[in-house]
Amino acid sequence: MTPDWSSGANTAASTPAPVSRDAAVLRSAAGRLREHVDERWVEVADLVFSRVFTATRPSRPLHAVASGGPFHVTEQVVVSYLRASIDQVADCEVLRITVQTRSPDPDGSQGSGAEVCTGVLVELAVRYGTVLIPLADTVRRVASERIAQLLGSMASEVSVAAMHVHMADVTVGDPKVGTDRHER
Amino acid sequence: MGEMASLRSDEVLARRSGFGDRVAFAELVGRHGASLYRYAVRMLDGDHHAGEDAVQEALTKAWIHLGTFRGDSAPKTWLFRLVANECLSARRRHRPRPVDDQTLTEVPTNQGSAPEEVTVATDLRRALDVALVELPWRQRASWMLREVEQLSYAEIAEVLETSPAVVRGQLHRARANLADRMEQWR
Repeated sequence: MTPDWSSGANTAASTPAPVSRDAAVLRSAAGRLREHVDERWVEVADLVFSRVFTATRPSRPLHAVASGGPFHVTEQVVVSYLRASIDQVADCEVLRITVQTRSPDPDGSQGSGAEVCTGVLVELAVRYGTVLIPLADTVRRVASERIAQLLGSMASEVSVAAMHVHMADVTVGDPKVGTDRHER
Repeated sequence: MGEMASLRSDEVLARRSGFGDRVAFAELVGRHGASLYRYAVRMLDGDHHAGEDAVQEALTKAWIHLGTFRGDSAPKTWLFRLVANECLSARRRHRPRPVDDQTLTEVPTNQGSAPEEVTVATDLRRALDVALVELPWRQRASWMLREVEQLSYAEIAEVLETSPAVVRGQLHRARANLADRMEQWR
């Protein structure tokens, strides 16, 4: 019995031209491979993830003060927590968060390499039709509260004026879902 | 949230991963991990351990650098480029392995009694795996990315850091070479 490569079924087929038959065999083989999931990947995927997540991203330390004393928080942690808090606000999606810093005063904790957070820029995509001014106020309030929780009294420099909210993009649908611009 | 998470585009997942969202990164890799692994194993001559290492290294780099990913290319294309680079590095680290005579004699064929459809499909895939090992690296990469992973010529060029015209040429030669090697399956 000759497999029918054009349909992928193992049934008798008419005799097509040799070139197209080669192409049909390869197309069928490619399809088989595409449908195939290597068992090994199923077995190791979780282990691969656990190893990947042990990697840390290089990030600047920022000064923070708790009731028990000063400590450092990386910029990555601040950005991650800020993003998670702002994500609770409907009709907007955080595109980018930039933390502005300055060097600490000479009488601060020298030599640690940590900087003082002086401001935050939050760039957003918003759903078309959203009223922007209340949204900006909400995002600014949420971000300020989070910064205060993260940096303690060191957040005092991050005033409302230093908390910039920039509406960078507008989407027709929910910006938290998005559409792949690169889809063919 | 779970339902919404499954609807999120790759770009949103990549951006959220950049902010340190592990759930988003797990979802992004969940969509493409099997494809990345399949590609890596075939590019490393069927060595599953080497493929696993290549994918793990690539995903680690992706996790570290997603914070600076600006979305100039599709996340899927970017992930394939990272894996392709890791495969290339792995091949450079190890001496090329000659094709085993035993492997070649074990190429499954569809000659003889009529097999079940499942067996034919499995044998066809295995025969393809053997044929792919014999292809030059760039031909193999181009063919895998186009015919199996269904990337566009432009995306393949981006993954392999070459031009679409070169990809077109490599694909043409790959198809001819594979057709020769799969001749018994006509």
